[in-house]
Amino acid sequence: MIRLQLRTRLTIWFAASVLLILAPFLVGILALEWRSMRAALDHHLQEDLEVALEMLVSRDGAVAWRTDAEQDIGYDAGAQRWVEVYGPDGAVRYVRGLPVREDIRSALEPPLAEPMGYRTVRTPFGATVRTLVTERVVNTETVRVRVARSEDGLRSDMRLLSSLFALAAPLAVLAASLAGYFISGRALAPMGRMADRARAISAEHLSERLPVENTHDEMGQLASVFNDTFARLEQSFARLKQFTADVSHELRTPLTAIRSVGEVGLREAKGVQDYQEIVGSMLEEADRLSQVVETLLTLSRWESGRVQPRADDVDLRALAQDVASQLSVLAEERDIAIDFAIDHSLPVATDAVMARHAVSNVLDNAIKYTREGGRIRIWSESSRDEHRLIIDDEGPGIPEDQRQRVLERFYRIDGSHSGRLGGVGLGLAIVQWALTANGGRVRIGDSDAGGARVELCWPTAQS
Amino acid sequence: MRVLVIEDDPKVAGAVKAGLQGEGYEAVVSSTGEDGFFRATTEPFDVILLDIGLPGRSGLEVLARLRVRGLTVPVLVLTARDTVEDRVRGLDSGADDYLVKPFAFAELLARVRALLRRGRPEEALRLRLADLELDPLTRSARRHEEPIQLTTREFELLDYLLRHQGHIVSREMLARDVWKEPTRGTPIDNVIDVHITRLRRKVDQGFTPRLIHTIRGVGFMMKEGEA
Repeated sequence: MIRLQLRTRLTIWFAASVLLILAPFLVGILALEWRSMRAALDHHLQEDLEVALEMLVSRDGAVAWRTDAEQDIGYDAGAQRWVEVYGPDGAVRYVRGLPVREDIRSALEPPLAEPMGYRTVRTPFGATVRTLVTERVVNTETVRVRVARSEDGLRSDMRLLSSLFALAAPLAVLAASLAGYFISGRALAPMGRMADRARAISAEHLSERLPVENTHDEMGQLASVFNDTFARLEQSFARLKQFTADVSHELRTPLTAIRSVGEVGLREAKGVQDYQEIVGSMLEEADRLSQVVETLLTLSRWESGRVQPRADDVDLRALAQDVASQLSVLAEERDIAIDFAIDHSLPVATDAVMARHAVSNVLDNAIKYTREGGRIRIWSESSRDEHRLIIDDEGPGIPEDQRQRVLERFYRIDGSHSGRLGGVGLGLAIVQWALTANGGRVRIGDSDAGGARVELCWPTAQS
Repeated sequence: MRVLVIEDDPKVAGAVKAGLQGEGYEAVVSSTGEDGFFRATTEPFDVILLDIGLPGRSGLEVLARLRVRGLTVPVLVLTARDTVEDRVRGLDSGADDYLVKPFAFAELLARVRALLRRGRPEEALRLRLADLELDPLTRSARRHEEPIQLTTREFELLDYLLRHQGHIVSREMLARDVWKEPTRGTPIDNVIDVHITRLRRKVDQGFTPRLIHTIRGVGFMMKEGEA
């Protein structure tokens, strides 16, 4: 199949519909016109016949024409018409009329066997004649009277009209096509401009947008939809760029450490003890490197949706208690008290591994940042829709303008990378994903003690 | 004990070979699947280490063909991919265990030992090292005839270290086998370090020789004398 341009297709449709509407209309006009002209002709024939019958008289016991002159039978001069009177024997008695083309008249059969009424006769010369035949008894004689008028004039009028129409219709269709071509061109022009612009928008020029000429028409809406998509693409590209930069930084730092420790070590180390130190230090960095990679892989696996979170039955209280007791040694080392204040179960449906990740990362942060000898409080709040596991610490807290950003990958409050305390800055990103992937959310606020408050909110389990 | 290492990366293969030899194994390296398959079917081995990211023939294919041949030698699969499907596919093809790259060498040795031990009875119930004794039945520990008070977690940790005495135990192994953590994150590493410190205080403080050693960047080892 031939694929045509949208514009051409629209034009063809346009022309076809004009033709489809115009054709029956013109044919109808022709038919109506023909009928009314025919009716007028028949009416004239009827009148001719009435006049002719008035002219028939009885003279000396025979049928006679009232006058002798080869005169006109009526009023309407010009067109050929005549009247013939035939005797019962079939011989023509009178012919009257003006002008009579005898060749045409004599080409007609005598109307003896003809039925009464109107008839159209085509003569061998190509002329067409309309006739009206009737019988009249004069004295004892039955005569047949035939009036005739040429139909040629009428036919040529019709032909003229038809050819006019035949000429006008294609012109009208052509005009419609031109108009259609022009209009669809106008209507589609924004589309072409959009296509040109869209072609120019690539990964490098994602900040460009399509022109929106009229926000209320379809084209404008289409452009707006595209622009929204481009905006989202631009954002994800920007995030990806930032992410790539962060990742390379995060990977480069341990790599640099491994190299420099190795190089300096080779140059300066003296004995086995030194070498053991150097290799150990390099291994530590390698370990850090593989932990970053592993964490990133976990995150990307969750984000890509290749790993669907499971809907395990999890009791948040039991989970939190378990995590708290596991991490309690870390708190003890810094003389921090963990105050566990949840006395009833908090059933939620969530991926148990993800949830455990989330809780242990948050609690680990709390332990890291709480001042030595401080206190961490683990408690909960429940509403009809969600269970909130709340962890309050006595650390420096998180400034309000950074509360959303700390949940992003690699974001650290102090802005420095690779701080010993902060790890690699992926912990809270994991928390964020563990919650959102399971229908929950993370809220960060201030604790009553002036530290940070992290609320992990899970939707309540549907039972 | 003969170990066949089918691994195409010469650096990894060389390190693994040297490490295995250091542990007293006889290691043979094959750098292609074809060669590995040939050796595995013509020479006796006690364990096969198989990299499934091999050029040419896929490692899994080699493994499947070995199993079709009726070879029952334990196979430890090494893979850079660690999706669940990959693991399942590996185990399906007849692998006995798998290890995800990058791996700690201590971990590799522990897996190899476990595969070699397979099918043999558990060692003596009572674990001992120098004058340290541990009885899993009564869950009690003594050093130099003096009882040591251990928490449950400390006991499990000491038990695990003693069972691997003379070998390095990595943090991954401890996280997985002692703490039963499916994934390893920063918190668990710190928790392990704190427990080791405490255990060392109870087991080693005031006694000679030191038994719990830290191998920097690698893990821990229980051993009489210096590590």
